[in-house]
Amino acid sequence: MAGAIAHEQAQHLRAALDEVLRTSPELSATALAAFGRLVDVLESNSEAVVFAADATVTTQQAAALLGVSRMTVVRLVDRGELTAEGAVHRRIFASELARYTAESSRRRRSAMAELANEIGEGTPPDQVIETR
Amino acid sequence: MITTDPLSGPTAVLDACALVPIRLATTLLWLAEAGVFEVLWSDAILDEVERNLPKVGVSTERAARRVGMMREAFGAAALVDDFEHLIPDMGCDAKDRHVLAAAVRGGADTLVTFNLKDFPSESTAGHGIEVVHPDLFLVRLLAERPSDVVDALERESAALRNPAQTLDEFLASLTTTVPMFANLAADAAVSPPASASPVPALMSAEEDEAIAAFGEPADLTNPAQVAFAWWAGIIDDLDLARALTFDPSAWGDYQWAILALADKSLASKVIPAVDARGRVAFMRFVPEVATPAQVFSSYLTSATFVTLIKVADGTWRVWGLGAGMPAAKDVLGDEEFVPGGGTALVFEWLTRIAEPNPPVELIWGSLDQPLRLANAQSWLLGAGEVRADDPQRDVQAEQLSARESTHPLFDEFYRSLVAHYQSVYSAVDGKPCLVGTTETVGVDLELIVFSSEEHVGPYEPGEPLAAHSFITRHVGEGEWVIAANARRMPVPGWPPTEQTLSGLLIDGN
Repeated sequence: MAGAIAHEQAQHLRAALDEVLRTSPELSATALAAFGRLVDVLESNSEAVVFAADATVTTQQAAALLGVSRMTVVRLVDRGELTAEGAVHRRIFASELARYTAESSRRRRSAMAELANEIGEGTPPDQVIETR
Repeated sequence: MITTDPLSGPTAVLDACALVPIRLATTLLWLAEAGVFEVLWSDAILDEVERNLPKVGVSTERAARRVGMMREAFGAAALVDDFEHLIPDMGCDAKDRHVLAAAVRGGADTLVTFNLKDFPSESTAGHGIEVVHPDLFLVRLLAERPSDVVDALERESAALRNPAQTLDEFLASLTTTVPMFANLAADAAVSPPASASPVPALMSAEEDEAIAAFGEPADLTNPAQVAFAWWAGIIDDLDLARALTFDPSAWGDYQWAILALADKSLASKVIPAVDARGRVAFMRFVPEVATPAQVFSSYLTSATFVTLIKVADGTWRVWGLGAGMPAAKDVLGDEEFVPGGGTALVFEWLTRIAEPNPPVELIWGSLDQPLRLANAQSWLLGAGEVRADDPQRDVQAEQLSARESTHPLFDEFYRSLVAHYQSVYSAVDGKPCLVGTTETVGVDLELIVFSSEEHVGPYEPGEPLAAHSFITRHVGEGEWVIAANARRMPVPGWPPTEQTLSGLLIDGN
């Protein structure tokens, strides 16, 4: 996915944030880290959604944020991959969604890079076969 | 309030047959990684992939590892479970019920498979699931999210290391399974559809003023002009259409083509075949009512592609008409695979092997990777450089068998290999003669038989003949390598062995 801001612009923003930290030491590290994280996200994604860490979302909202179907979110919660609270109307902490997104995309990228090694000089051409 | 992302794409279960061809599988997964669609599968589907990979030459260990990577990449999010109770109720082919059950359970709207006939629409309609061929599925994603799809393909080809490939090279290799997507994606990568829409995209045969978009009239070296004149011929001059058709006898009375194009217009854009640029090209007929903005999305509904082929004098002919694009290999057919690059390569190889110091780039560099590896393994064992149980032997063999090997023993190995070849081909004496015609023995493989000068003449089956068989492999762009210097394919291992190609008679070396 193309980022909302280019790498150079992101670098400018990071430099500006460093400058703010230097000139306004009263600004908390947590706040600056959050701004930094926003820049990271916008560099690799077309949009970012900001939540308070303790905000919660419904499974339907989580599905939209993760770009998956609601069934998938329910499955992830059932298997303990995503922590939710509430028994009937389950809600998920925004911070938990952020954790899951970061973890799963890191794992996905490294597995995809490894999968690329399956295509090499000696790999025969693709062919469609009858599977059973 | 968060609403559903309007850009969110389909939720698709991928059938095992779409995950077995590695380039197609990784393409689907990179698009899923980009969020262009949501991928779903099940343990049963992944097991089926793992079970079937050995049929396309992947070892069982490697198959397990590969499927493990797929599983790891998408984790629990892609894995539908708890669908077993739905299986008996599925109305499709018995062996595929588990696939449809997983789609229903996972809330999928799409099932991607090559085996459309195994999922009749009455078995899927009630579940709101559409069964789609991988080529059409990918083309739709390209139409809906062109820049995201092209970006993902660029990341995919950039991740290839062994060897590195350009996007075009990678897409050319995709045409064996999803030719329409490969060609349209290659085209979208150079001219994004958004910028293409103001182009004089389409016209009807009657609109004189738009004809300029097709180039100089009657310039038969321009595929657009040929397609346009051919189309005009379809409308009112079948002799003209026949003259511009590659093989008119295959078209009968042209009535089906006339009907197929009755309500269509020809879009002016020429789409080169990514796997045979300058030799095969496509243009498309779109519904007559379409406006330029609709041209791209009309792939989804009723595109009809005309396939054009360049003939020997540099002019173009209409080769075919249909709902899809064929792989260039299927268009060029015999043209591509009869005496050409492969024969020329073996001819030069046999000529120069007789030299005292034949060039390593030709003699060694022309050998396909499995043949180099098998040779290296055989020599390492024979020369006593490795023992059969040496844990380092795979590393040794791999380094020794590299096309540009820097292994310390390479010179010694190469000298020994050349001496071996010189003794095997001593009767040829640098003057090889082709015996019979070449024979296509695989999708990209060709069998060539050479002998020495004294054997020139028609070959009578059964007559003894000192013949040397070679199997060459087409690796794209007119490039060939020697896959085997026998009628059997090498199979690396300790010791390396050989494998018979199915359908190839073994009658000596």
